[in-house]
Amino acid sequence: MKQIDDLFLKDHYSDLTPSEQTLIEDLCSDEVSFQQVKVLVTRSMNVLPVSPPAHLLEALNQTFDQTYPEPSAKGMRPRMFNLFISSAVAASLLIFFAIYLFNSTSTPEEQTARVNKQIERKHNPAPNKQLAKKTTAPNQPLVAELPQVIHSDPPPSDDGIITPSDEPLALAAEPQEEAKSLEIRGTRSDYSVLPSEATFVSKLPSSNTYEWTAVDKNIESSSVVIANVPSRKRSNLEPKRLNTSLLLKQIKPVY
Amino acid sequence: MRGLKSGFSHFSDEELMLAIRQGEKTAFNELYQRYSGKLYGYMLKLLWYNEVRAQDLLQDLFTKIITQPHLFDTNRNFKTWVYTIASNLCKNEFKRNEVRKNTSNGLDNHYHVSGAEDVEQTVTDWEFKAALEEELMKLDDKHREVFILKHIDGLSIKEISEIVGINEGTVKSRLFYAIKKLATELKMFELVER
Repeated sequence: MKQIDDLFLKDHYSDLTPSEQTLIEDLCSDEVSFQQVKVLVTRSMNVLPVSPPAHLLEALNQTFDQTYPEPSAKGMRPRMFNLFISSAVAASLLIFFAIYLFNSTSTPEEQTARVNKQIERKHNPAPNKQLAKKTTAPNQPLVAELPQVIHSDPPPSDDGIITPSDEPLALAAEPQEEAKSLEIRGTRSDYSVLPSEATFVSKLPSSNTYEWTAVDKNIESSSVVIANVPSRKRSNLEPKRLNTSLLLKQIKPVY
Repeated sequence: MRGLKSGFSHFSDEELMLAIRQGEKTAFNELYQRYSGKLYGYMLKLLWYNEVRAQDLLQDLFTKIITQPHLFDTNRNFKTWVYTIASNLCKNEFKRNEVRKNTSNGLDNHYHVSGAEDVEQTVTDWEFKAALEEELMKLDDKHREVFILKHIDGLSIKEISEIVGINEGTVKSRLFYAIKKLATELKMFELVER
């Protein structure tokens, strides 16, 4: 058919060869009919195509958006990247604020002021004195009664083995001239109180008990006697404290 | 946007369909630009220039391309496939609405037919087009369809046989008949051309 179309590109019917004329004899057999078909074939191709209205494309684009709502994978990458960046910024801000706050609370001036306050409290515990007396007074009989209870216990066994139940008796039997009553005051968390010798208040040598005190959390810097523990030597009962800071300093890094 | 458009302009129809499957809107727009005008004209002629129906069918066709692009076998020719769908849509429209019964002399009432005296006054492309369309409406559906596909849309005999579902010999015979009929009816243009 392509060949037939090409035949009509020729100007006249007489330009066709006999074989070509035979090929199109069904369509045209003379010059007049040839020209008629030629006009039809050539001009039909030039018929301008009509264009559909614009709203049709808009409607189709909407349909497309509904059918494929998700963005492509390329679009997801920037979103993930933004999320990562924002989280990193937030984390760095948190770290910065934490460092800033730590530094602001532990300035040298404030630290010295705090230490001075603590020292003042220790030397002038005026408001807590009455409370301390009140708390220690009812405990006095307990301290007095405790040796009696110890002496009322049966004598230790003859085999010489000291059982945990026998320990108080053994302790009572030993000479206890060195024993001292020590009263430790302050909060349990305040470790600075413990090693300092100034905090140990020596009592009369007749007392052979330690007076452990604890702080009532509701009343600041108030002390309450928990119990009086008999002991033969202070050094034996008090747990040995390791100077960890010194030990850590002694450790040399190995590279 | 233009850059993307030009990116798809060198794609074949089949490649565009693959891109549409992956949700590339620009590929769809490129395909629409290539075929919307031709298909709209084809449908208009088959539906006796009923614009509303032609637009509806064109929208249905492209909606099918959007929603069911997997129906297209990429090993096939897209042009043949899309014209087959258009042809079937129009045939279904014939059956459903019995369009011919509602038209006078095969023409839609909305379509203005130029009189013979108008054609004789000034012969222009537009007038030839109008006269051709008028004569096309007078043809049978089967002859009209083949003529439009061959001489207006520029499809090959093989493609037409695939679209219409007939053998190539039948396409040729129908085409010959249509040309002869139309050429006879439009002989006044041949006279003017001289």
